[in-house]
Amino acid sequence: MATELLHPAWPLLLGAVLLAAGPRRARVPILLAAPALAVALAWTLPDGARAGGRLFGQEILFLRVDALARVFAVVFALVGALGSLYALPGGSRRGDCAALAAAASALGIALAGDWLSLYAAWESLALASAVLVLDGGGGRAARASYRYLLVHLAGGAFLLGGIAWHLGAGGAREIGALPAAGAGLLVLAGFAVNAAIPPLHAWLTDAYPESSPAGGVFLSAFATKAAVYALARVFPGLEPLVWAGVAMALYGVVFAVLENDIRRLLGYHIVSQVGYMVAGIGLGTPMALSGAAAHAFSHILYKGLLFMGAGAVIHATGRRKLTELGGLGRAMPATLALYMVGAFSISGAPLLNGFVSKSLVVAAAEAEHRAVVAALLNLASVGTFLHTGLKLPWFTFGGPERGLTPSPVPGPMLAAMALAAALCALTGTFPGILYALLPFPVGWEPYTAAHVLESLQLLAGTAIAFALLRRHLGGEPTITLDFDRVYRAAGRLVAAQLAPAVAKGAAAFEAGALGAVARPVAGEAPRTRLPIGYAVLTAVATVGIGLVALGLALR
Amino acid sequence: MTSTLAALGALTLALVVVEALLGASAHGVRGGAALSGFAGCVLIVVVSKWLGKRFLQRPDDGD
Repeated sequence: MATELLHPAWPLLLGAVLLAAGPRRARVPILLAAPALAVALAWTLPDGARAGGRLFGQEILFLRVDALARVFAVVFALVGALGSLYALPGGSRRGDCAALAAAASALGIALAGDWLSLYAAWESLALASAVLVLDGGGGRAARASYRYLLVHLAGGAFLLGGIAWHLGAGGAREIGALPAAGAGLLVLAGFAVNAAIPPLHAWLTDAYPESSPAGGVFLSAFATKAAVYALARVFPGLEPLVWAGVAMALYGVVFAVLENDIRRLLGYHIVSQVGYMVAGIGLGTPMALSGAAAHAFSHILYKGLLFMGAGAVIHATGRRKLTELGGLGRAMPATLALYMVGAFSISGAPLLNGFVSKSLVVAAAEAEHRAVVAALLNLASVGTFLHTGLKLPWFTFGGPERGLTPSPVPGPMLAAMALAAALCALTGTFPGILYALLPFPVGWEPYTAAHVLESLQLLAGTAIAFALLRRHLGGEPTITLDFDRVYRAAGRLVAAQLAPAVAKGAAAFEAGALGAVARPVAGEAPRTRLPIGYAVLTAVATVGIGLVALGLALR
Repeated sequence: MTSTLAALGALTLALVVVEALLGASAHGVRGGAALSGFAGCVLIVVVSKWLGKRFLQRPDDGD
């Protein structure tokens, strides 16, 4: 087979086209076959394979395989397959196409060999993800999708500016490590938006809860972990990332205490978990980089499982807030059991994958004598179990009886959850399977008596504190202010002070664009509040960065 | 709830006893991990709730 055809994105792209144009009865076979083929291709990618060509007169290298690329490709393909199985019972043509396109884009990022291929896949992931948010349906989802697109266009502008600067200054076409200065700083800013490093993270918890149940599974997997891959490839050992990662790990935990929406709570724990990966990349040792890759692999599986569990609750009840949920455990025992496998995985319980990968990152910090970093990451881990393993399931499946009669969860959704849970247990119980995929050899043995007992004690201590504080931890009918308020305020200021004409044009454009893409929901009043702040900030960032980059490139 | 607490307490005690019997403390302090789990959890809840009440939370008007 020609090397070009080995790229695992092909079957997904072909599947997306067939889903868009083909007959509806082909949907199930396509959703099952295309991602399965992608998994097979990703799994068998030969180390060192390269493929490319010429596009618009530029040399491109869209396939370049090494161990770091392959581990991300394998897990992106895997979650694509699990998510597609989960999506079988519902789903629109638009959502199905966007899901396969998002998976193909994530694979395109992981396997891109040159900067232009990376940029193309980066932007197509942003677009596909925005459609996944939009597919949640209704005005809220449409507005969140539009904000998502604006933030990611701004991030993409930073990335493109950095790439143009780098190439214009005679830098290498192939992706490699960059110093965090000049062009590298712009590239880093682009990656930081996708990695959801605060204060650039608010798009994540804004958009993910508005998606469909299946859309949330795909969204939870791709954008942030594609950025983790890119950071590991381009900025390994960049010291500020250590502290950015620690800050992320704790930031997500604090906001999760206050959160009432179940998928927004899980979204804050994506920020927190990606913090471990970013910290590992900042440490930059072979053990820490392998830890970051391992944790990304584990995280995609258990977080996918958690979003599937939360999505099943939303599918069955139509409710999404802790203050409106409760007492579902008896009616939804399978969902509860499978959700708890994901919850114990993310919390680092033995025999599950988080136990192996999270402790690999922490052990890498200890090996570098970074005791404060290790202690703060362990503190964040306590918060993870508190929310994901105790608060969310207690107030959803246990807690107050609200007389809910949930509709049954369809078989394919439960099957996808069972498969994800099995993979969490398999890679957690036999870490050698995961280690074999990692970029550097790993000698870390997680199953020592001391480590197992330490982990179990940490969980037990947290559970005792939860039992005592439980009354104070229920959901509250509040929303929590986050950095998106700052974006809005800053954008409004720019709009009011500097560019009233731009703002007017942006408002007209938004009204038109929203009118075209938003699918109105019956009974929902039309809304006129538009994200002027976001639009103006994006326009300023795009034009400004583009001009700077062009000037530097043509110097 | 009291029985849940008692069960959790007994479990934690058992874990600390096993740790002592095996001499397998991860960082040299017996029961240290259980204590840091408990204290860490209380710390996270108190700090987050304070931040929420003082700065971050607003009533949810349904939008």
